[in-house]
Amino acid sequence: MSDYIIETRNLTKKYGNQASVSELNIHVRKGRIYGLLGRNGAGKTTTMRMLLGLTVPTSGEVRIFGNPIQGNEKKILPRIGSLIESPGFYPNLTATENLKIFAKLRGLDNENYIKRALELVNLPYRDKKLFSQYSLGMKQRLAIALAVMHDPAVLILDEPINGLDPIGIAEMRSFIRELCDVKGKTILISSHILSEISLLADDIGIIDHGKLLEEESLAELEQKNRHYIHFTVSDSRQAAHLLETVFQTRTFKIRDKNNIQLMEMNLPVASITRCFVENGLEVSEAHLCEETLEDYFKKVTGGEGIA
Amino acid sequence: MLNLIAGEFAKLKRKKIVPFIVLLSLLFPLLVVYSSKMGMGNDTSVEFLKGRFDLSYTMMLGYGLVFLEPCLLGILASMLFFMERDNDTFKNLCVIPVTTSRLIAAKLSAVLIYGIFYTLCNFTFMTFFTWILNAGIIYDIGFKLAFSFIFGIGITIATLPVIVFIIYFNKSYLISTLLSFFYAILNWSVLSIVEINLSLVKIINLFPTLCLMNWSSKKMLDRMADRHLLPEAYLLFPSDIWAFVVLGITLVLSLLLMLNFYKKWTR
Repeated sequence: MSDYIIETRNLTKKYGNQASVSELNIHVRKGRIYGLLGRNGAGKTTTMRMLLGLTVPTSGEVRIFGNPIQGNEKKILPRIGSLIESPGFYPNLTATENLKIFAKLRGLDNENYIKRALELVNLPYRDKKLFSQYSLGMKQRLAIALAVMHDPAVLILDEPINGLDPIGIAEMRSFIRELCDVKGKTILISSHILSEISLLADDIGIIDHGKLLEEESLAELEQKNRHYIHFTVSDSRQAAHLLETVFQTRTFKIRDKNNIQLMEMNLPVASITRCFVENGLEVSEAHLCEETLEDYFKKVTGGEGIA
Repeated sequence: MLNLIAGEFAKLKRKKIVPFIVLLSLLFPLLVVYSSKMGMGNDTSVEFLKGRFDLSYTMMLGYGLVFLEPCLLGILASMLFFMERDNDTFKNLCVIPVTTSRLIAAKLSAVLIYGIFYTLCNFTFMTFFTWILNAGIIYDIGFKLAFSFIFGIGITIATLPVIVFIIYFNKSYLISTLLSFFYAILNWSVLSIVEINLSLVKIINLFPTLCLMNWSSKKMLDRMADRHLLPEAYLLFPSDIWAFVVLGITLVLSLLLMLNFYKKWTR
């Protein structure tokens, strides 16, 4: 059996001639949070819909718990909780009444399931407020409650922080983290907000124009982040020569006539600056630079960035 | 399946259609019994008074149920079928998983139960008003109650074509309501045309609603105290087999089409 809880193999969805998702291969490991990151329209929702069998793939395969989803829906789907796109509930019913309908269909006759799910997302049990009177944030919380109500092993959450206020986002983040760390859930979460994914996910998949561009753990990605010291000097060639001869390093990059980037972080900036000045160079700028995840994603996605 | 059907009823909570159904099933029998009472005259014979009760009952079936109930059930069906589309809840059901065919079966079961409920309410209130207004002698209750039950099933099946159109057009509630009324008007129009030109009598029983109406009339006639029908009227009555075949074809064809259309727009 595969090590992955969720796995796609060359998953493709075409609408007419246009590929919404193309040859996608994602791998979600057990007990980890996988963040599917991509801009709006990148194919995140289509991918998630295919994972849940809501959309039939044009080609390729989805495997969950080691089995193909197609033909095994009855076995696999009850072990998954999901939130896809906007929260869908009956507006004329209260939160409890809404959850009751779905709980019964899932065979959960005990109302404690509903009570516990609502408590988890800080919504009142047996409240008289109708779903139509809920704010977007409350609706989103209710959708999360529905996703976790039956205590699934896997959660597939499409943009779960949509509509939440900053405090709600932080709460949701720690709630999702807790589900993974304490309860051992495997979570696939999609977002177009880079900061959210970087704060939450253990593994990241970057999707753009329906294609998976990168799939790595956050730790690996962070290791790839470049740190360097940027100097703005009167002559970058002379500065390069000094770095080679005095500091015995070749890990630098001349950007232009006045700018040079030193990749080696162990060298003392103050000594380098003093050396440059003593050798007749004018140093107008010297600072530590870090290529952020966003810069990295911009690079990966061809310069368009994420959010 | 029972949970699915119960869910369909739960989804209608706080919707005005349910009190509307009860209100209509209360008002229409009142109207029918009142008009029957108005035409009573001075005859107080048992046969005549039984005949008045039969008249109220047949008027209830003929006008209240044959023409009004398909409208009502059409509106109810549009609410039930559009609910998942309008509230984006279909995905929540699919991931349980609930299949389209089971969902359709649950929705139609709910429509059927409401259909029977409405029919029985009509009968109950009609009997009650007959007693209150002293508009005839109440008799043969068991048969009429059982027949109302069967009629409720029949009229729900006869309403299925309009539900097929509602799903096919997949438009607003207004369009669905108009479609339901159009279906009722169509039945009326066919009936009117046949009344003018009796040579067309054979086509009338191809229409499920009219076929059911005529079949019911035939069944009722055997039980009625008062039998004053023109000989031409007997031409209208379909055989039992014909009625079952027409309703059977309506049921099967409608279910297949519904499944096809509903799957198409929920895909």
